[in-house]
Amino acid sequence: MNRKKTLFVYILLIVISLFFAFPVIWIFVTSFKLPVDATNFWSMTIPPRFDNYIKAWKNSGFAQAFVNTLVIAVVTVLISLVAGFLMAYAIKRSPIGKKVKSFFFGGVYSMRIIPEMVFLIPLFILYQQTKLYDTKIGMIFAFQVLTLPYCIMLLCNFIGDIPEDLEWAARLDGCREGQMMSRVVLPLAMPGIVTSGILAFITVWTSLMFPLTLAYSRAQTIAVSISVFKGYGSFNWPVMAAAAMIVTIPQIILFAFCNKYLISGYTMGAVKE
Amino acid sequence: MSTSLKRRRRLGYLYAIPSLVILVLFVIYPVIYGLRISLFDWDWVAGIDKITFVGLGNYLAIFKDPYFWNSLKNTILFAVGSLVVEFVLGLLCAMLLYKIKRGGLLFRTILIFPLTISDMVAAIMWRMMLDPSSGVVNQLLNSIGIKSVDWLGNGKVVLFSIILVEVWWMTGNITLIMLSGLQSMPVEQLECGRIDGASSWQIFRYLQWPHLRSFAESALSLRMIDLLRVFAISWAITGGGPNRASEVSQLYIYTNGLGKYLDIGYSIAMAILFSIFVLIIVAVLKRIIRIGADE
Repeated sequence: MNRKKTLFVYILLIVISLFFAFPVIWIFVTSFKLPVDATNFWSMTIPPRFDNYIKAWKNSGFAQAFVNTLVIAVVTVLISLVAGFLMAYAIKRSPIGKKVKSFFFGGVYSMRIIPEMVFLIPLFILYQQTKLYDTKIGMIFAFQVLTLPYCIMLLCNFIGDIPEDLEWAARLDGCREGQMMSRVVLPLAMPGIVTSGILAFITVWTSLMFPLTLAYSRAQTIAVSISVFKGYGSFNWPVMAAAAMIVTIPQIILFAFCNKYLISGYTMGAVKE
Repeated sequence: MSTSLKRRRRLGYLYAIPSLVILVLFVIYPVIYGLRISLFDWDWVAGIDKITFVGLGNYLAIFKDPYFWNSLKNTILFAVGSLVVEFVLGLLCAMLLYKIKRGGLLFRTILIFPLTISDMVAAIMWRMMLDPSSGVVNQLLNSIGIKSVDWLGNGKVVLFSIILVEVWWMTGNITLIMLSGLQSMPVEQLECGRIDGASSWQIFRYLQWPHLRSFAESALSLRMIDLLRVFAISWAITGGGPNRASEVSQLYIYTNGLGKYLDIGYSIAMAILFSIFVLIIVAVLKRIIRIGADE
């Protein structure tokens, strides 16, 4: 590539990067402004107002929703990983017949296509009748609709990548069938488990429709809680921006430390189906 | 051998049980229950105890409901518009990232960062930025001499505005998939092409594109599935307005079923009909890509 071309490529990249980076920078800067300055791009607040973050955190129900979401997300992910790993192992490794397998797989795949409302309205009625409405345990199981099929699909890909010869070798060495999964496959599938766990966590953390329909106050999650800020007029933009930043913290941490896992997860679903 | 095979089979079923129990209770049962309810007139506003069997009445009523078709039209325009822009931009980003030798990690991080933000946060953010009087977008436009645009209040512009937000939010997904496609291609092949004197365009068209096609295929269908189910961006930025100009299907169904009215039977019928449309659209899209591939 000659120099002119290289220069052109970099200029184009910088222009595109500006488009993607600008909103993030803007909201970060706004979260430290005074409301008067927030509505004018050119005026800055000096010194920066850190108390916007405290105000956002103290906004009614916000802190509670933050904790709720953490608890719900962690338990949801754990259940999805255990059940999903067992299921993926069964699909990929046990001789339970091609037809049964393709039935499982087809079911899991079509579940990703169907719009959420098909599950949510019936679940809303059933939750009202069974007192699961607005409870953490209800949310945890409802979220399985999103996270479990997803984990099964990702884990199937990862387990499929592990050479089956390893298991035959272990069998020859006298490894019992019941131990095959925990001793041979599980350690090798660890990167896949971490990737699925992170992506499932983000799914729960960012989901809006499920908590909006199935919870009201006690089990309310962060995505709905931040929508309360939505009603604020422009006089409170900095607090709203601070709330948006707080909600994004877990993703920023995961993005900084688990970049590799995240990217492999984002691409995997597409590369092989 | 056969006893070991039998045992492995039995273990396989055992391992499948936890997932199956969860999926049957929280997915299959609700869907079947929903299918049944969709045959009833059950409007909680009229009275939660009043439930009457109407057969396919709800489904027939949908055909006379202009708002449903309006929301379906908006959903398809939104999905197709976003898909085209995201794909072109994402492919361009991937090609650029593939070309550069320095700063790849930095640029990649910037280009895909919006992916990690939730749609709700993206919506809140852009709602402030697109505000007609105090939003930063109009202020920047004014400073270079362009008149303010009513991004969210003008029915003719609003769909374009939410496509802009979606493109900003999710293009990185396509960038990543296409980049991994480019990187999975052996470098020697490209070198051969270059030595034989092929132009950049010829290298792309005859060497890279055939290799990228399967990646493009899954990127397009995966994105389409997610785009058709759009909810948060419409709900949080415009609430479907002005005058239903940006109301998407899932939002209309939600408003009818739970958000504002509690017309349960009718909204489930709409949800089911809408998912049939989604399945058809995705199948058609896949067929179109296949035909494009066979040329």
